[in-house]
Amino acid sequence: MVEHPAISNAALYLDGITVSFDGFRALNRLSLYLEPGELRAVIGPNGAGKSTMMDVITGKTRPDEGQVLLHGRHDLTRLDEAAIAGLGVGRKFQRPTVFEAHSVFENLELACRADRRARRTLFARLSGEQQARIEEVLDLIALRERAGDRAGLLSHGQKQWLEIGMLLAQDPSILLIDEPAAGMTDAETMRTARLLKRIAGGGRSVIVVEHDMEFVRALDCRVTALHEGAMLAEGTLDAVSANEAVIEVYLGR
Amino acid sequence: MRLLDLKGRIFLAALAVLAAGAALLNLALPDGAALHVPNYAVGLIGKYLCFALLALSVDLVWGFAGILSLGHGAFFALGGYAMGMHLMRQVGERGVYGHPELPDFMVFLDWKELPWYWHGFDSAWFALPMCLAVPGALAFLFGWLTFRSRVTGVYLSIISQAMTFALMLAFFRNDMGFGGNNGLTDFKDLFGLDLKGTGMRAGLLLASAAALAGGYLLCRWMTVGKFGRVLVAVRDAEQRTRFLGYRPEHYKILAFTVSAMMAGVAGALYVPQVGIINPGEFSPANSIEIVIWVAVGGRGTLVGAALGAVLVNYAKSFLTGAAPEMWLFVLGGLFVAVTLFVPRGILGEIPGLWARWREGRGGHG
Repeated sequence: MVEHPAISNAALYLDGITVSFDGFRALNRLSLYLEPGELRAVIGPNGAGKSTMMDVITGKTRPDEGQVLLHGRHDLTRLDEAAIAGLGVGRKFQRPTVFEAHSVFENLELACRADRRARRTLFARLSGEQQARIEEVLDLIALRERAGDRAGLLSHGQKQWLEIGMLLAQDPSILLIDEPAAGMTDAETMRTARLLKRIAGGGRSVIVVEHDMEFVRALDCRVTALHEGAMLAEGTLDAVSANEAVIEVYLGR
Repeated sequence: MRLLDLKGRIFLAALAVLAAGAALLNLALPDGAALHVPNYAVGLIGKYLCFALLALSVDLVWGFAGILSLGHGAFFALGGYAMGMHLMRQVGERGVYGHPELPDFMVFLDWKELPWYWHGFDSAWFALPMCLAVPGALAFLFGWLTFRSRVTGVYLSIISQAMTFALMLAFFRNDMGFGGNNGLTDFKDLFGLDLKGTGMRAGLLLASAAALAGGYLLCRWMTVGKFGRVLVAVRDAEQRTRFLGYRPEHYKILAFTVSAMMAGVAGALYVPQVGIINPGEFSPANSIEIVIWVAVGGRGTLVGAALGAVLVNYAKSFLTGAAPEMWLFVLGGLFVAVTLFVPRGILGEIPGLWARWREGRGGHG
């Protein structure tokens, strides 16, 4: 296999991914190239394939064709969810899913980098390093005051942040974030955008799937527009918004 | 969290007082003395403690890992059969037919030699580990096949029920070599001591109490730490734990196997105290009953599960004496009532009641 040097440098490289459900093509030979440290927004109407793309990257869905290369080395289409998470791919869901019966601190503890094997976990103790990491994340997501409270008692926005905090505690090299601003107030939305911009960089890449154009504008990053499982346009938000095909999909017909 | 909280210390202390007190009052006082605990009561308490251990094992997987097993009676019965086989071999020539090696039912079936899987059970060193190993191995296999295929929820419950039903049908067959529908009975002695002797009953009661205490500490240890928090996370949001890099199936297989081994120990202690094990122990209704004990006492509270087992079985002993035809209606009604009015069970509701009581007092003071 002759590899382009850019491909082995890519944080994530999706190559011709096709996924069909009962004949319906959720993804149609989608390719995407993400640089290390890059923040990328993925937009598209409902059913464009955004969530399916996340599912393929994180191992929930196996594609019919194509491969997903992580750091040019690992083909993620051959691995399961746990193995992919172990390689440093973190995912945040659209609906915040935190462990409601556990405290905020315990949620972060479960996310914290550690040996995930069952027998090791049986004897696991929180190291000073992990403790420090959790404290740091608590400050970053502004939930230090609530550390001992059950996560189920948090507000919707706070749950979103806790989940982002869990991603940070996991310390992944690639973060996939699905509609983080859904259900947030304007102030919370802007704060979340600032948080994500801080997270990206330093070798950590972030993909954000979002509907809210104000939020995407605040992210100020490269934008990929999907439609019917394939890429429609890519570039700055202004360039993508001016693209005729995009206008056609969003406004036309 | 600490290994032993207040609830746990009260539980262990009460267990020690109950078991030691009953054993002492049974052995030290003569028959007919006012405080003498009769032999049948010692046996009854011992039986309740075995059920409490069985309930703990179900609470470990249902209360914490969210695995609603409707087949845990099978692990209990397998532990019981392993012990029963040992007791059968101990009978030796004292059987009705006086055969030096074959148990009575095999002589009756005109078998000429001991089936291969009966070998070794004459030795306690082999039989006792088997009481854990056989249920453990079955649970591991079951977990390997189901949890890895991501079978969860009601489907898993149904499969576990089918498993115990299939085992029941198999053990009913005479040619399985486990005594058919009569099962194994007419035991004589254990470790060379008469099973009906006074010291033996008290000894088995104390052994059951020790097993229950050990089982409780094991469950506690598995659930207070990070392992337990992963189990609860799997219970509440299994898919989410995968994206954090955990393999829920491994956690479930481990918890399920440990749980089955505890159930096996409970069965092994139960059989010498009641003097019989038969395929009825595999019946799906038995497994469902265990789940009701746990629901009544409080799912996910451990102590509540043990308490529920004792309370429901006490009610059962009482009612099956007073009005036997009513028992199943009462049991069903109990389950409905608990689900509707005390969904968290007796011990599960206490923290809420306590908080409300304190709130009420704070409001007035």
